[in-house]
Amino acid sequence: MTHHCALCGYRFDDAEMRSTGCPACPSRMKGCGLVRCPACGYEWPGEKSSRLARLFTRIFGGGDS
Amino acid sequence: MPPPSPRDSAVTVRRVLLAGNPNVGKSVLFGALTKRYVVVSNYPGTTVEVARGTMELDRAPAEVLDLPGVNGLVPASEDERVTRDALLADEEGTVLVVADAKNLRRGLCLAVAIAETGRPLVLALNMMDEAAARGVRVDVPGLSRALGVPAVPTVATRGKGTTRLRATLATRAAVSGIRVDYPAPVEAAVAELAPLLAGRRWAARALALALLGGDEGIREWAARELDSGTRERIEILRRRLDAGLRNPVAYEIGKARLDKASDLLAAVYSVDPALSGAFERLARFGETVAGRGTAHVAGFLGAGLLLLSLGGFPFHPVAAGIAAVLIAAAIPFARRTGGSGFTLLAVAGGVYLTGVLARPLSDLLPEEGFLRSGLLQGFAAALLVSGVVLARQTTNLVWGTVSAMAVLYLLYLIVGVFGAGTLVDVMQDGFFAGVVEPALVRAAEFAFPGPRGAVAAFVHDLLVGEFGALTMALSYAIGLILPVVASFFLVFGILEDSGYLPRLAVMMNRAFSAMGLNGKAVLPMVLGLGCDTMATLTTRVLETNKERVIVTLLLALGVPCSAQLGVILGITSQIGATAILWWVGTILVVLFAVGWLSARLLPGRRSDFILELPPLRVPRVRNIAKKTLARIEWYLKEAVPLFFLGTLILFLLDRSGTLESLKWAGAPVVKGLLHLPVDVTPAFLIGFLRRDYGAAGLSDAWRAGLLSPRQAVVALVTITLFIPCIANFFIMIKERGLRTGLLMTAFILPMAFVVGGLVNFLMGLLGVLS
Ligand SMILES: Nc1nc2c(ncn2[C@@H]2O[C@H](COP(=O)(O)OP(=O)(O)OP(=O)(O)O)[C@@H](O)[C@H]2O)c(=O)[nH]1
Ligand SMILES: [Mg+2]
Repeated sequence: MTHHCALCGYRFDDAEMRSTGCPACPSRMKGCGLVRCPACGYEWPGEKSSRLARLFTRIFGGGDS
Repeated sequence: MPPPSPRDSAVTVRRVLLAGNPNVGKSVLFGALTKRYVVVSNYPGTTVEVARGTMELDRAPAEVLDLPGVNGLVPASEDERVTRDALLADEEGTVLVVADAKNLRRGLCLAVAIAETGRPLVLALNMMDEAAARGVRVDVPGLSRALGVPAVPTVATRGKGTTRLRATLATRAAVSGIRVDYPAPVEAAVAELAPLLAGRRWAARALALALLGGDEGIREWAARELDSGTRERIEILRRRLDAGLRNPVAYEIGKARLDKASDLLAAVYSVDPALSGAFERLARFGETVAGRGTAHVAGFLGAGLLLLSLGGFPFHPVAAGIAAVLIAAAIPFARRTGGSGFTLLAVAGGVYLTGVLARPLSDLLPEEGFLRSGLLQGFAAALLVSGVVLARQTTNLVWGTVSAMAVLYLLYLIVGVFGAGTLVDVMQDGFFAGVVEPALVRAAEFAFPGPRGAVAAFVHDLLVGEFGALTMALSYAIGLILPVVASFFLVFGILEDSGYLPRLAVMMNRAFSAMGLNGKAVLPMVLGLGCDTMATLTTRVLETNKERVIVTLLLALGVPCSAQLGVILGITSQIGATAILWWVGTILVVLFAVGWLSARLLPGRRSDFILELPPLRVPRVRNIAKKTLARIEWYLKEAVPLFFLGTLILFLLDRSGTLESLKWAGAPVVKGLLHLPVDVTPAFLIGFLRRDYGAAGLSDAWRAGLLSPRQAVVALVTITLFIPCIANFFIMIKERGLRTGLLMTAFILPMAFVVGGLVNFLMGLLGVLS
């Protein structure tokens, strides 16, 4: 799944986030559900860890955007 | 010589490879250079295959390749691999790195990575038009010197700079001498590997780095091109590095390049929202005429106008005339000198005039009813459309303010009117009060039929009593707060996806610098309007500790979260514009005063302002829906348990009789200082647990008619200045440390009451909203 940072426009995938985004986070909590931009550090609740968002995808489609 | 057709490209040896980040205009530039049309669109990642064409370079044909956009040389997708492989496979070609001048850091990061490969390079700084419109200044010669390669500013869509680009490509492409310093273990591994890789297409150093940080793709390349001994060596070095470094190798390499790019950027890139020519000239003239003293006079005049407005917008022909003339004059002054006096004057004049004009205009409108609301919505729509149209200029001071107003109005419409009004009416008054609560109460009657014993009565009240977990906590959390938070998240998602937020940051840079912050701080602050706890976490986007401390303090002190904001807007909009103005004015003054003071009192420094602007675009409905849902779920998980905890604590306080004594103990402050009825004390107490919860309590009191308009404003100001909620308190301590967290708390609580008392006193003095 690719993410798009709303702050700096950087595009990255989960692998890049885990290798360069999350290590820079002071709380280092596993599976916190937040997505963190490796370029600028902006964070937001990820859609993948949200049941509601997954349900929406199942009903209306659009899984990869 | 006949004009070369694309077929001839097979025989040309010389090549130009267009590389750059996604969506920077490579394909448009390709079209301009080759006269061949490639699919151009405003979605990043449109070029997936490599388009080829020919151009004339120094009177001989050269092949041009339009590569897919990439963010770095370690590919994350198939497209990116296409580009990297093209760069790896091509024997002798000049690379034309295309960068978006307004988003330069990403571009430079890529340029640095490509420069390291040791190929001849030319840098095109594209989108110079948009950069200029946003007040971005790039020192092109300085950048060219720092990189050691020629740099050419272009506007691809208008063909500007392409002639110069052609000439530069033909004769001046250069190999950059730039050197990035990597962490010592990486450098050691590179030094060991490089001799084994000499004599290849990429500089040995760059190749060694690519192999060490490598992905699947480069491994395949290595399997084809390198002997097994070298490959084993690489694997060993890579494993050793992985064990020895704190972060993955690819991350360390990327980070070093990004740091290099940031250094370059800091030296050559600045943002300064530009004024149009006429304003600029007027401002220059004003500057020579006016000394510093006039700024202070302007400040006083502005303050006077603001006071007039606070008094309920009395119309005064002289005041209105002065306001109109002065606003026109003050805006360029404010821009030019950065004088806060002029800024205040312009803002105050605007507020006063709007207030004065709104009166006769609203008299012209028909009384209540369909037509009136239709006209108002039409006006709102016009404002919004103009805001969107002007959004291209969002970093220009004047238009930026207009569009910011439009955005705020949208926020107000969706969160304040729709969320806190319509939705809350449906959820709270209709669904909860009408259906859920009676059902729960009846169910409880059934489960614990009277007369009840002590235990049964306790459980009964715990669940459905005055401070019942099911009645109070559930209906507050779901009926009153959820509709507001949900509608805020919706708007915030739209703002995020449209690319508006970073523009707001650029606009606010000047205002924030007075508070020892730069424009970037606007992001946590705006996010705080959604949830202060979430926002405190994002203070990590700020670079220095001082900035983080200041923003954390301001968030906890004066930025109302969406839940609270909904309640506040709900109450104030019923009282009228004067109430809103008093509330907004007080909070802003407190924020600026505290920010200004802490900027001077706290040790440390602020960082330079560098933010890249993503393009403005129409958000996609599906994305917004998913984002909003994810945030709502997050809110439910984080906040609802705290609502139950808060109610439980309140229930226990009530049961043990502590609530009564606390009411009594709080009376001198609540009644004496703030002149509020003692019955709102629980709302303040609960405000310690959750500020929105406290505000919801106030909303209840207001609906029940317990508060006069003036009392409502005083209560709202006080509760806004409280620490948002218990979660925020813990986050403050976690992020800033125990000592700082407690110090902030010790500052905030008395501050809230003192300011509340002051507002009450001032309103009494001016005789407003009695
Ligand atoms: N204002 C302005 N817009 C430009 C300029 N150059 C390109 N654009 C616009 O930017 C958008 C992207 O242009 P493309 O040429 O498709 O970008 P690209 O780099 O090829 O994008 P990918 O192939 O997806 O990586 C289009 O809407 C262009 O019209 C410029 O100099 N100024
Ligand atoms: Mg393209």
